[in-house]
Amino acid sequence: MKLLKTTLVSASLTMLAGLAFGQTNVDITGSTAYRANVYRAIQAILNPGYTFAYSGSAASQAGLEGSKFAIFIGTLQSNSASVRIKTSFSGSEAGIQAVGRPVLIAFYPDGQATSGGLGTNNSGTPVNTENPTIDMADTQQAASNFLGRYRGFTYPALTENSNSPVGVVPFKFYGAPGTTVTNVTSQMCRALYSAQGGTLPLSFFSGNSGDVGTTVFATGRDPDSGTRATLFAETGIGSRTVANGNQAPFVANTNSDTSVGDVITTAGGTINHFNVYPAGTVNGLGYGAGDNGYNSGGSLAAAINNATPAGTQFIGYASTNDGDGQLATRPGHPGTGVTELAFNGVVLGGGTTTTYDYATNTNLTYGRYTYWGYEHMYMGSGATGTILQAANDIAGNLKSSNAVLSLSEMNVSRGAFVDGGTILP
Amino acid sequence: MNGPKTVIWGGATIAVTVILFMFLHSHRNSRDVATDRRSVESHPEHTDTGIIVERPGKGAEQADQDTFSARDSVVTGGEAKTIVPQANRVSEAALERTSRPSVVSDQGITRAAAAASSEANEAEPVEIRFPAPFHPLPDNRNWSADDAGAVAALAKDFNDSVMNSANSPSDPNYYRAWMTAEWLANEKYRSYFGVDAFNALRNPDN
Repeated sequence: MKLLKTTLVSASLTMLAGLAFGQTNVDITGSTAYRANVYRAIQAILNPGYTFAYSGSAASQAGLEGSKFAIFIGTLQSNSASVRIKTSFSGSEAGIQAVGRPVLIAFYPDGQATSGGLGTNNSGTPVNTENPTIDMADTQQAASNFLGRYRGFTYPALTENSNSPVGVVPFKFYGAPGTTVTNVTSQMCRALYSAQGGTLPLSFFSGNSGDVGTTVFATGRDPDSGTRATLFAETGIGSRTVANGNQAPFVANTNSDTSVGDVITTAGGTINHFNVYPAGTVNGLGYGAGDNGYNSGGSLAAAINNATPAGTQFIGYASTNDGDGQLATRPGHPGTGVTELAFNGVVLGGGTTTTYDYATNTNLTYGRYTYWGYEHMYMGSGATGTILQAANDIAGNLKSSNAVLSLSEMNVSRGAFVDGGTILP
Repeated sequence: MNGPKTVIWGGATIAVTVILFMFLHSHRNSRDVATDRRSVESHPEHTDTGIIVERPGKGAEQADQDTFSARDSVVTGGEAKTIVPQANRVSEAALERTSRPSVVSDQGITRAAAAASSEANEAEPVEIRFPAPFHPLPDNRNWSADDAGAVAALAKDFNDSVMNSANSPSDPNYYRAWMTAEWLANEKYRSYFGVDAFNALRNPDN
């Protein structure tokens, strides 16, 4: 009887505490390239005992870090505030759009089932929608289309967290199994993604006249991607430029290739043919065929990890977080595995283990390799009180501990953090 | 020596600012604002009614002998021709924002113009350079009205940056602030709109 009373009192106190203090939703969106690091930071700033759920299929830390959606329920170490930290990663620029306008996007509901330990995996795509207040972005807001007037809406300047930029985010080009392309230059990128509709003869890459008959297909991200914006800024295409060159791999020639749902997004299979990436809608805005592209670097990297049809080769770009897991040199990689391509003649290298530290990569830290950007955290007007505290905690943790590599580990920089800007010692 | 140099730079900068403002204010749709590299080949000038004229056949040597000042905004020689405004593909509102730099206030312009007039005769020849956002939009890119708005925002950032660093064109920091802000504006322009668009500003005949 005494135990029952104690239990009832305890439960009542818990309920009262919940009513008195509530739980604050902290809704984060943005960069798929940096999601693994954000997840680590979230886990680091919560008191032990938090519970969580995520969309990844594997019940593991890797499963969490590759997830588009997740929810963490717990208390902040910094001030003990009760929070539900939710994530919905769909691209840096999409995040800027969603926070700025704001746009309702998918998040797990408050009542999502969660658990401790490795968390609840395979939780699916949420139907619930909410307005995000925090965006992780691979580019400055000004480099995106979502500052000022764009396609009928006005996007305000977001507030950059005081700890932002929180670190550096490196990117790579990858080639499908069997690809003989070894290097991609800025000129080639401009031809592929701007002028030539996503294809070039292999001879353009090899200098071998015998390769004229082999076609290299290039795929890419949709316009809401910071990975794409960084590439376009770096190669001189222009981050605000419309692409017309994204190609997509399909499994069988039994459809009209006009549905995004038919595009290959998993690794280890065989590509039947290529066609221009189908038109689609991102956060309510329509994008044309070839300008539209993958909404996740993880899906893009997986798609490259497929066997290509005879007479074709296949390349694309992704963050090291999204792409390195598909490397043929990475133990446990799915399928045959992809190869890393040099960018402007320089191989970044690394990534052959899950614990590889890019801060040790001197090609990157001394400026020889240039396809990288700064990771920013932007906040909407709703980021006050506990939300702001959580944002500060996450950004602070990223900056000090959990960035891919920190600003202090770079021996070079881009003036004023301009995306694609001149790199100086 | 710093004093006279500062005055010269200040005077020249003021003159450039005044001329840019006067021209852009009255000819928002005109194409030939760019005097940058073109100033060597031909020397666009502005009459006090705002009509742009150009003296053809002027070589670099002659151009170098010119002093680009407020006083020179009157045609003084050569066969003048009027540059016909080019049809624009961007919104009027966006151009309005692009075309009204506010490096100095209206009152400041009045004072700057007076100062420029008195200093003009002593000013050394200077290379006339405008940040990329103040150039007309080049033809080699499909510009949307939203893009033009982004260019206008870069122009505003330039103005704000200069004015936040130096209170007036006579401030010794003004020139340095201008150069820094110009570098940043050019970097951003190239990043956002691509090297082809940026290079077209440097090679207006393309």
